[in-house]
Amino acid sequence: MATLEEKGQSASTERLKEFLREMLLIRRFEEKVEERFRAGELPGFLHVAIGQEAVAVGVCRALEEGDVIASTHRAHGHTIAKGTHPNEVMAELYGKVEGTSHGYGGSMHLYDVERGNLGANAVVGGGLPGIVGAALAFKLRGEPRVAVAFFGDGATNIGTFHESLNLAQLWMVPAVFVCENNRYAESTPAKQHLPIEDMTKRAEAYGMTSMAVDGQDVEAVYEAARKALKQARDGRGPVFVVADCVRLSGHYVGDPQVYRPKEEILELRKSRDPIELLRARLELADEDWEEMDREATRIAEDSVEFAKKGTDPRPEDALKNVYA
Amino acid sequence: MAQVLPAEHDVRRIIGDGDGVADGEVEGLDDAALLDLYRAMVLLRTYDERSVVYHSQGRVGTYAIFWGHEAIQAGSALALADEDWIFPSYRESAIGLLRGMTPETVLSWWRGHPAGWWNPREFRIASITVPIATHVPHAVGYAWGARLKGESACALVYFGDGATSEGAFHEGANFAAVMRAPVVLLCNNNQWAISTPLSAQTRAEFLADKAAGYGMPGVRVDGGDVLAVYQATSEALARARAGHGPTFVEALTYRCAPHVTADDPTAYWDAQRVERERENECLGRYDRYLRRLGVLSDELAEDARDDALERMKSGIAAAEALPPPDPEVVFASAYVDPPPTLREG
Ligand SMILES: Cc1ncc(C[n+]2csc(CCOP(=O)(O)OP(=O)(O)O)c2C)c(N)n1
Ligand SMILES: [Mg+2]
Repeated sequence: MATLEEKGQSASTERLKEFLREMLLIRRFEEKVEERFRAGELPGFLHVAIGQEAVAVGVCRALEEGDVIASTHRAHGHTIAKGTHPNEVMAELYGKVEGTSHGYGGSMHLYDVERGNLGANAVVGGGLPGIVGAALAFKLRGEPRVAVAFFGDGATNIGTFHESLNLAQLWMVPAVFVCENNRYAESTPAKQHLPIEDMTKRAEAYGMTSMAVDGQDVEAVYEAARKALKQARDGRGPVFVVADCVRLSGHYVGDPQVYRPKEEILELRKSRDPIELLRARLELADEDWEEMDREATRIAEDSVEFAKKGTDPRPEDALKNVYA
Repeated sequence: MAQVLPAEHDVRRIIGDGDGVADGEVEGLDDAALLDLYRAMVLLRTYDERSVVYHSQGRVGTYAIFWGHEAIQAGSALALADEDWIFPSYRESAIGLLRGMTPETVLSWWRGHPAGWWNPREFRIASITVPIATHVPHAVGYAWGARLKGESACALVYFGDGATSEGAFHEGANFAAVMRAPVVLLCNNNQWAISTPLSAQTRAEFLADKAAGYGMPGVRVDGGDVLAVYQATSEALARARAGHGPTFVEALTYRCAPHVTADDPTAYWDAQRVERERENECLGRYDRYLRRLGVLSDELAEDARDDALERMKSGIAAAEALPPPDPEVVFASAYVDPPPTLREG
């Protein structure tokens, strides 16, 4: 018979494998997005979150039924992690009616309200006020739900960040603010746009609880998110979570990244890839890994097939969803 | 990157209470400078009290009262060098009086007359800003520009406790810290934003703690103590001029007058607290301090008051003697090329 400790370990190993599966799916999905964009099939402007999958998965796995999120311009990972099928995400990128926003939105306007995704947001810092509003509604209705905002380090320089955190703490609403601190705002490195080294210091201005976590370690993110969510859900006030992470890709698909030494990316890909780190930690057998990879690749490929077969919105419907 | 120091929580004071708390002093301030501060406070006080009277007589429009804020305004403005710029809110409308502006100009502003539109360059005082906190980024931009040009000028920006909840404050303060702009962020914490108390504004215990989020020093000072404000501002300016960037100064006071003449605070404030605060108002405190030092006599005090009253009298007379403005002036500086709809009208 397995000891309790062993049982606990295998449960956590199983969970980590699930995390790995999901992170890998997001990775393969986004690689597909890059590929199809370069092939000229996807309109618009795209941001992938390659390297930041552990934050999306670690946080979203810690959520409970009924919790909501707001995402950013880098939204594919959050959206998939919150439960939207890759087919629907890809269809949206192809501008098809079968997409999450029926083809009207695209990459930076992925909404899935049914699954508690209050939307990607093209405007930096644009998601935070809505999350405070959602959390206030949960509080006023006495519902044990939490609203979570994702945003980057650059967004902490924006007025909406300040107004949102101040009000969230003042009203003690059940919100969690997750800063994906990849230390770049587009091409601007943190040392040129952040006046402080330790991002958690921002919370002091509001008297808010803060936590720092290694955003490349999905388990650490999961544990921190659970703690933060519990505090918020118990009515003990919002939490500012700073997940230090790395963007292993450009700011947007096609970004030549002239502002960043080539070696930096190569080095980070070798040492800080959250998927490789987890794979090594789980000591997966090669065939298990390959099996997982095949599955993720297949889902990503299928999503492209699904999207291509989708329906184009009709020009005469362009104004349909503009006004109530 | 600069190390983040926790903001100071102790409230700095220099003026004692004439009893158990001893008087301190500010190094470098001689008797003449002490009296300059006194005259500046008397001038502001007189301006404020006369304005409320003029308002009740229908001679100026709605007016933002600053009774009890004179120590903050005089203490900080007199710490500036001539080259430094001031960015006032509506609460510091008369700050120009301390730089040679006439009461006629300020009264004209409140009368809605173009004679009140001073040239910012002439006094190095930007326009009065009514939208809350929007002038914080302006001040920071000016200061950063001065730094880029290699000039030694600094900026001083005044805003209230309510303003610290605004996104514009955050963006301005953050940018100042990133760019090490030579600016002093002076928060007049009078504990009210119209009828909203500070407790309904933020859960941060001290506004000075806002500074930690930007990695800049935050200090708290007794806003009823003109010398403490003078000293804190001087230190912040010295830091700024030495290239070390901005400082957040929280000047604590309590607004014991209506927000503006259109306000009835009896609906929301604590009358007993107001009574107590009034007894301890800043001009009286400084007056007693100077008398304890033997610097101020009845004669000097009376002289300061008479001089201020005289200026107000001639100021309002001059403002009222101005011809009414041409209504066209409303459009004069709005467009280089007025749109057709305007031209037709
Ligand atoms: C952007 C903006 N929002 C609202 C107002 C209306 N308003 C005028 S004064 C004021 C209160 C400001 O309080 P505080 O910053 O504490 O300054 P105080 O008046 O106490 O000096 C408000 C909300 C405004 N002028 N501008
Ligand atoms: Mg106030």
